[in-house]
Amino acid sequence: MVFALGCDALLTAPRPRLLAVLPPPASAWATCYTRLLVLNVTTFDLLASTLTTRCYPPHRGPPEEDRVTQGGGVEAVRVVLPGDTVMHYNTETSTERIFLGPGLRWEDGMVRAAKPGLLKKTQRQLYFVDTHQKRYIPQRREYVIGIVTKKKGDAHRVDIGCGEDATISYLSFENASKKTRRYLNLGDLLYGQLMVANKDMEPELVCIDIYDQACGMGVLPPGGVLFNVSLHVAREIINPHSPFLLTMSQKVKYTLVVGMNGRVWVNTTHQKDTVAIMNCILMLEHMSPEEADGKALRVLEALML
Amino acid sequence: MAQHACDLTFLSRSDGSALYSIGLTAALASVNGPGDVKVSNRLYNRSHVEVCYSPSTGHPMIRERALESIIMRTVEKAILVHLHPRTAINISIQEMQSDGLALSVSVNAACLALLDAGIQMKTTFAAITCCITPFGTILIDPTEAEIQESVAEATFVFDGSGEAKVLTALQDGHLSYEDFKRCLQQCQEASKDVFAFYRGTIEKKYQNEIES
Repeated sequence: MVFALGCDALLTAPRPRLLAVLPPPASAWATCYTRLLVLNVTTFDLLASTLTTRCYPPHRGPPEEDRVTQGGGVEAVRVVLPGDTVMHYNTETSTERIFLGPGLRWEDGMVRAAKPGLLKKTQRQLYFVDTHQKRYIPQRREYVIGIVTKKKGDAHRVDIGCGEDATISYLSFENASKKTRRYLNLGDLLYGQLMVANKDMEPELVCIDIYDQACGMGVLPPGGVLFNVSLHVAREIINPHSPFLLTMSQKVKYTLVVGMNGRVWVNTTHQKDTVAIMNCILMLEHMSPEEADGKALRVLEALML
Repeated sequence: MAQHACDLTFLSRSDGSALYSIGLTAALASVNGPGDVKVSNRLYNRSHVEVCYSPSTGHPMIRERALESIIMRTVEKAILVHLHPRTAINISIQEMQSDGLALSVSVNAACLALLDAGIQMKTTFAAITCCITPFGTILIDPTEAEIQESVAEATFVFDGSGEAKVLTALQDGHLSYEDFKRCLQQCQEASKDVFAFYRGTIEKKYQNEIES
């Protein structure tokens, strides 16, 4: 039997309150979804505990066990182009269980790539294609930075950099009620989590977690600068323990907010420091994190004269 | 066969772009999307693909419109349009230099720009142009002058699967069935080199990551 499911099908089980952040326990996978799963980014993110790029709640870093395993366990297989056959997988005869992440399709007993990029594999037989792209495709539960563009009754329209604007209800902020409304101005920057994101529906943003707490989400304070980077760069620096970020922090004290949609907001005490940090991060567009890490201090010094 | 060359992410602000040249013909393709769409073009079950071709001089006229529709129909077959309903994928192609191969260069540039943008596709595709001289020899990637002297010109677009299936075929001039088959077969052979070139180009883009 094959269960080819999207993330939403997996999670449409009765939603506890606002956000279901917990994946089903590991044993449930084995019983409910035998052999083959087609997953998309977010679910696969939770599964692959060994991935280097993950989405963490803003107030805490990666869980302890991840810090140990980070960087290990993901193996780059090769570069694939759309249409390339990754492997044969027949549900009738194949016995091993595989997981398919973003960029892969399963069709006629074959697993094929749909995106160009680096095919990667984790120890748990999870395959995905790591693509460098600039356009964001909304995924449920990802943290993004949005710009308020329109006020529409009880909701606001927020531009999150994908095809369609997301909406946010005035009630989805911490301590908000019908009496204590949260007023947003046009142009405000919001850091929130996507609660609804699928191809057929308008994305919906919230600024609270399942316990109705903001935990870092909400309107970004005035000051600071917002800029765009490619999505792979954003995934690189979303990890607060990234060596590149730690190197920069030796020199400057800064606040960094990274949205999975490639938007990055930086603030420091001095404007020139902000600009220096911004330029340092933009270096990642053109070089690997290791290379940028080596150059970070030198570039920062040059920019902060 | 003329030399193929490509420069990915040529434009910094578009989602994906490629400058592609075959011999002396060059085109710049830029892809934006899946993104905002005009209400009139919004489709409920698939994304709208729009191709805009601008010539190197002057305004787009009938020739450009014809090229646009050929490229659009080709590209639509490759892109997985059903994955992003109510969006548009915009492909703009700017002809930079022309030496007879405008169509095949534009199609190849569009393919690489789509790859650069990371848009989900069923397969890659590559166009090959050939012409038949009055003496019956087939020239792959001819120049403008060679096309002028030839009896027939044909362009084929193949998909990237091993068998190189035909996605689009376009002929001009007097071409017998046997000649057509010969052209098709030789272009099919030539397409393998183009796909190998695509792979090399994309591998170069991800070089950084492979090493680290």
